[in-house]
Amino acid sequence: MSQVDDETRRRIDRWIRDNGRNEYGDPQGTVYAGGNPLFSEFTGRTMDRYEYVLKRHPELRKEK
Amino acid sequence: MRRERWNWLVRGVMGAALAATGWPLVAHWWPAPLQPAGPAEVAASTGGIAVDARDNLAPAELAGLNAKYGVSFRYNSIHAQDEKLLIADNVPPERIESLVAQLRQDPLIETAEPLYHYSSPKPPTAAQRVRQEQPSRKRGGKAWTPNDPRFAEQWNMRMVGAEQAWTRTRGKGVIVAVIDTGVAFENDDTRCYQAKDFGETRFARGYDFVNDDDHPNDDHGHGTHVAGTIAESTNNGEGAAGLAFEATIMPLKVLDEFGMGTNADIADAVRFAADHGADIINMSLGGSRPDAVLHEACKYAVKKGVLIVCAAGNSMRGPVGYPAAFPECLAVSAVGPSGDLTFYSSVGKQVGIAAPGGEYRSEDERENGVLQNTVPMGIREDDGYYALQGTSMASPHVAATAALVMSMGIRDPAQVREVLARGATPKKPAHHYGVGVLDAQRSVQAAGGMARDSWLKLVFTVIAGVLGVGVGVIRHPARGLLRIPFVPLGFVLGFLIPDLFFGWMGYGSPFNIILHSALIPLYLLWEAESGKVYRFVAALALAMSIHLGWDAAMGHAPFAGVLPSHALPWLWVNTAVGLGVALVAWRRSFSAG
Repeated sequence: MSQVDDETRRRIDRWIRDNGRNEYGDPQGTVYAGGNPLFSEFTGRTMDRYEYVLKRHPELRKEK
Repeated sequence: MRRERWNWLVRGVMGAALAATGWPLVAHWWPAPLQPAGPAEVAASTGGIAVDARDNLAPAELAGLNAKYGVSFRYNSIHAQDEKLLIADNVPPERIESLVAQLRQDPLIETAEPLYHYSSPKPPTAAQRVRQEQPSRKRGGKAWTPNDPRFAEQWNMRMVGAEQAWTRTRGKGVIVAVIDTGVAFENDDTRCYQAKDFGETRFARGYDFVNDDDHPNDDHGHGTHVAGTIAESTNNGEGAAGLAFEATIMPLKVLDEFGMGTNADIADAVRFAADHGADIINMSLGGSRPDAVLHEACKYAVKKGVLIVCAAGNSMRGPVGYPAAFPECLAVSAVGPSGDLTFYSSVGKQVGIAAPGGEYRSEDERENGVLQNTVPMGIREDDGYYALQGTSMASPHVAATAALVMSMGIRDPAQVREVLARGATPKKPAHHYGVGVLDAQRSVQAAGGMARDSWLKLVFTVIAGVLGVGVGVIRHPARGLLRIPFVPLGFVLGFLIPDLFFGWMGYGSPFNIILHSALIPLYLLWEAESGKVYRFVAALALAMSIHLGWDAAMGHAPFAGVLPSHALPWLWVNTAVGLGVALVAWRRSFSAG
């Protein structure tokens, strides 16, 4: 279950759109094992997309 | 008149029926358009461009490209010089799309693509203890069990019947290229460390495309685990087993310590593997977009007789990623210990086969992962046995089984795929499991059967031919061996031609639909009735000569594993003979007609 509130989600989506990032907030053209960085073969854990973006870009937690 | 109409009607119905039976085969070979596996909004570039230029590109032309497009192209690696695989870094993002479009129009360029990054997950930091696993089911037939102490935990090996397969072969003489984060394969006190259960594993010369050197060691951990499933040292009293443990691993590093890489490096590695004797390529990596440079490299490798096995991806029932979704690659989905599709596996019509990839959702279920030796981040203290899960783990099971099959003499990639399909346990739906779940034991049995079948056909044909000629000589002793033995010749050719051509054109060639049909004798019968057999032979010989001459002129060797220079004399001589046959047949058609 995602811990990210609706406002943060909107902010992330806007940031992704404005900065030309991909759906995971990574640089343009970044692709992943299986097209999905939300699943780890080493730990077996899955991650919410917004949490993944926030982990990589913690500055998005608060409106600047 | 009425009878003639009736005859035409019967012929039409028969022709339609024949075409209808052939449609599934034609549909099978019809290439599907390549589509992005991920959402359409996934962006395209990382500030670079990968270019596959014409192979005869001169240095002056390369300099001209730099000046013309205002970028600085360089070879992706020293191995890219032959293939003219170039990359340009630091291209402004806003220029990439238009520049790629311009480059694609340039006559000096074969393909151009934005430079993509590929990644694999980060490794764990502590070795995992996995509970002892009991055999999931009993199998018949002889079995051989290695003395590796942790083999009992490898449920995946029992699932595919490894112990039974090992009584017949262990993959000796087959080279498997592992295109990944590298392999912890060599010892150097200062820079690298060999994983503890790889001491007896055979290695071929590889390459590090990330750092551009000859030491493709693993500073991540993913590639070593993948290589372990294929050929971890086995029956050495240490650790776990590999499925084709007598095969040779060619380590090719394309992903860095973060598990990320570029399409140019991957394409470069695929070509390196094909040019340096790899029989099989395993790629437990991928992305969501098709890439033309990588696709061309895969086509090149397959054309050279290399089987490419790829992880379908871990998109949790999402579409199959690339390169797995290229038609040249065998995409592998993952099943857990139950034999059912895992929750994380990608699915789609491109899935070729399913294999054990492990499945667990909590630490308590670690025993359901795939256990192999690896060295996370290349740190010596962490060298241990880790149970992972993913299609990255499923793919090397298929690559290893293919190595077992190839070691039994079945070398054509399409034929190996056919053997894997024959051996697989059928399971539906096809977009989850492809032809079914991998079974090494039955695949090896099928390979043995196919090899035996080929020999029996050859022996039968030779005996029939000799008997036919012998009978001809006895019946017409005056003409002796000079008499053309049409009946035995026709019999031998009729029996052998389908398989001869199929070995020649490739087991997976769509032309096999014609060769494995009655169309040729039907056509010959029709021509014989109209008295035009000679003209048919003339046209056939002329067309074949043009085909052979074209191959020779272009330097193509249509024989798996044969260098073009070795094939050229054969091609040119047969072109000349074919033209002679065409001329003679054409002249005889006038005297006969």
